[in-house]
Amino acid sequence: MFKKTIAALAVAAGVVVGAGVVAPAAEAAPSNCNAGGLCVYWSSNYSGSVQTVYQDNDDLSMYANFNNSVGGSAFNNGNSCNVVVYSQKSAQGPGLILYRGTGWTTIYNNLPQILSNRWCTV
Amino acid sequence: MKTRITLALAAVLLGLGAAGCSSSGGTTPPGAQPRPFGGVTHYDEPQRLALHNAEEGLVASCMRDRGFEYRPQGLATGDHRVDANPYGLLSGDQAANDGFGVINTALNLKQAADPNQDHAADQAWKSALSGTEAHRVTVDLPDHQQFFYNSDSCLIQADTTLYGPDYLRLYNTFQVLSGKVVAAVQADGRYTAAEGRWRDCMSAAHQSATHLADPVAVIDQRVKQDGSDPAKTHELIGGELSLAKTSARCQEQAGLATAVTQVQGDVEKTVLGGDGPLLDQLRGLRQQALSRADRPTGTP
Repeated sequence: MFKKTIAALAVAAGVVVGAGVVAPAAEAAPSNCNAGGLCVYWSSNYSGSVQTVYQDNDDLSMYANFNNSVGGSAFNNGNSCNVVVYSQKSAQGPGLILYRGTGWTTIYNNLPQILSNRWCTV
Repeated sequence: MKTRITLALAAVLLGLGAAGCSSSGGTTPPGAQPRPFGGVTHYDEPQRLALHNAEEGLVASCMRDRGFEYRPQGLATGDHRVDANPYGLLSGDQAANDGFGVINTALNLKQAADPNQDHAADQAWKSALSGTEAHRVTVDLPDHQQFFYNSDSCLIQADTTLYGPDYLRLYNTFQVLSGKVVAAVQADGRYTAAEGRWRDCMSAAHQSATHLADPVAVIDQRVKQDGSDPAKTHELIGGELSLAKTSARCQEQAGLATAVTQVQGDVEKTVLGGDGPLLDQLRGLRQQALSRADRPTGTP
């Protein structure tokens, strides 16, 4: 799966770009996925740059890993909640639950983009 | 980030609630609108609450057995968009009572703070909760997707106790398959024809929209833009209710729900293939979990 190699570097409320940042990671979670967050990696198997959200978001289109999720991977490192991700903005369309403590090793065409998310609603 | 509605707007909305809008804490029932596989991956709010509370009790119990404190997290309530139909279908009653659920969600959403945040940096605590890499299990899903979990985690232990050992695999499988069904239905000529009739009807009502999701996005944008301006409160609320009612009327006129039901039936057969027994299995586990959640045994 072809993906651009330059990750977006924008940082805004709710999203932390972790490319190149070595954070203390719990053994339970893939590398650089901070506790409490939904981590989306540029590449499969939790490799490449990581971007993390800790709150609800209605528009994640400006974040490369979320906007181009196909070929990437995701892990829910939340302490207390499941997270629902949507391929449309503002939590529209069918949502996909990523259960806490679980991850999608590879994301394919059924989730072409992660454009919004909701914590703790399921 | 979600826009927070001002107190002024909230007060007015509460007034409207007394006049017929949904009250806080409840959600508009999704009604009989079609969902993939009979809604096997969807739980309504009372079910979500019961399952979540039961699971949190089991997680806390498991963590306690391992010598760790775990404070059960309350489920966020009042998000009316969670129950929104995956196709964007809207009944007249829903539209009249709740609009698209956008403003009511902004008003009613109660999101609890993470009660376990202070444990987040404790790796032993986290490993007990989420498990360890040595126990990683990778599961293949349809369409080359994979997910993984750590089988030694309290989360998995709780999930297995509540839902049964194969639930996560089945649920994830049908999440993927449900998404395929929605995408295939929306690409089918019978659906696009019905959506075209809806679009024409909307246009005749002086509302520009290409897809069912567009009016919701319009309201969402308006709330983000003007939600904090008390002078625009009436306009916002009236705008959502009016647009939602128009969309619901046009959906009815265009026969959208009927078209979705027909196309979905055909698509499901193709997508499901020989996996009918898996669907039956998931339905069984779901019922079992709901029964267990009604009589929880775990103590938080």
